[in-house]
Amino acid sequence: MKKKILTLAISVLILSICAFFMIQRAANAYIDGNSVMYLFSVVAASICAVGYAIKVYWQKILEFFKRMSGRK
Amino acid sequence: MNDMQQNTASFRDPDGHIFSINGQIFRQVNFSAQEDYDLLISSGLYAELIDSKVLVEHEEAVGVTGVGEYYKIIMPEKIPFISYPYEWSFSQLKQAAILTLKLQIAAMARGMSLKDASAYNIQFIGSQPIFIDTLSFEKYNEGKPWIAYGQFVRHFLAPLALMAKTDARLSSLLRCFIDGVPVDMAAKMLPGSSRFNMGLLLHLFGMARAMGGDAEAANSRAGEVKVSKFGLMATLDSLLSTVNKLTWEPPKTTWSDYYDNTNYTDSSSAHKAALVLAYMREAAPHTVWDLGANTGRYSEIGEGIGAQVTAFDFDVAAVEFMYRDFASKENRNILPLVMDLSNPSPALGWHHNERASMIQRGPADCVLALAIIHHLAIANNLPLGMIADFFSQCGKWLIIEFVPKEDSQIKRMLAAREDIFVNYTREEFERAFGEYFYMVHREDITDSCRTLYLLCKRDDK
Repeated sequence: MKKKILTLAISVLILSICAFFMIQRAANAYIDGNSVMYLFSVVAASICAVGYAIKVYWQKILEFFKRMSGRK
Repeated sequence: MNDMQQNTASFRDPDGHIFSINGQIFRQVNFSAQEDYDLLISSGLYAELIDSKVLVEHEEAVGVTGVGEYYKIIMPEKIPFISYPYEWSFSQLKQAAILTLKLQIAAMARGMSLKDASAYNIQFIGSQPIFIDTLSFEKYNEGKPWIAYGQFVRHFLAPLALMAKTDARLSSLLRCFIDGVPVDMAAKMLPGSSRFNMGLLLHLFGMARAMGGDAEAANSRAGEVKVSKFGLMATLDSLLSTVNKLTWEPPKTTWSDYYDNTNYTDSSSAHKAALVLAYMREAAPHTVWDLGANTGRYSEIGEGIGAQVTAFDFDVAAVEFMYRDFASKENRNILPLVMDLSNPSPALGWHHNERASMIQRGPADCVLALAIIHHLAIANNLPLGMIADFFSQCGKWLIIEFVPKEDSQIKRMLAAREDIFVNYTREEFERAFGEYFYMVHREDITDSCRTLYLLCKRDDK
């Protein structure tokens, strides 16, 4: 049950993020983009960090099992 | 005599600038960059990057005077030919992007960061990309986002995505937008399916959408937010993965498989190559421009006699194949570039002075113009005298192949159009080129109606 709720929550989160980026909004070329860019880089870093953490820990898990199988 | 010339492209960075004295390049390091420059050296980053041949090497200059008050003058290794991103093939731009990201990752490991991610900071020595802006490295402050993130997307990710997913010729957009392709424009030009690429969705479409956001609110919050080092490494890892996954498989164009479809026999081809080699040896050039290089077969002859060759072709697929071939051999002497000779790279940027035109980056010692004259004169309606004038500005020696109207290539070109080229004759060719060059050798190519000339520029031209 817990697993189902977690899967559902993650799916809703991913879909929300995708919907945010999929819908294009017109850019106003006259605005100063630097501050927006600064804030966006923070958002991007947060999103990337989730995937990066999974990647890093997955590699550690794989290395652990490789070491384990090497001992046998 | 101290003939100091300020580099006209080097004025934006308050930490230093480039100048030259009698052709030797120098970089002034101002006091504002002292701490960062010293950290670059003391952190071991400089030595690491030099060892891996990805940063231009320099010596500290002695006895050279800069402008105003400054910390140091350094003397970087000279790049054989300065090229620009709008002249690169897909793989060249991709390699430049990967190098920029790898440099940022290496810099962060030693407590530094790149303060810009301009594609113009990368140059090529042959097929090998190298970073040339020693003053781009600054101390990394924990919590600070990568300030060059937006520039990286404009200079690299957006054009690469457009080349990979829309049309490889869109690299020419970089010629219009000197600070990179606007992300909102790239987002509009990319096919809808690009949104299913997670990296592009975040870094390009997400950024384009954010650019339309509330700047007032962003201004008030920009100083408060921080990015952890882990978050920054995650962004770099994601960008690297996104760039690595972008691929372009060039189609077989008329030009990219030109040598398989010519009317040359094996003997005429061998004779032409032997003549080019003999003429090249006589000219003994240090630099060669191969105009209409195609897959670079004759550029390799120039390399063989020890010259640095710049191999131009207007076809993006031909240049892509050429780059892949030379890069696989780790060639450091032949630089393939995309260049339309009927519309060569102009001088661009502020005061028409930031990016030099093709001609301003010459002249070469020797110009190769093989099987190209008919494309300029007939396909592009350029008078022979104007072509001769252009070639005389490109280099001192000219190895040129004249292709007469009896040639099957020209017959094909004229099959569907009226022959208005009454002046396109061997006699008129020799007369027009004779105004700018004197003839050193002329020899007919075996089993063909073509002729190869070695010409040398007249002193008064």
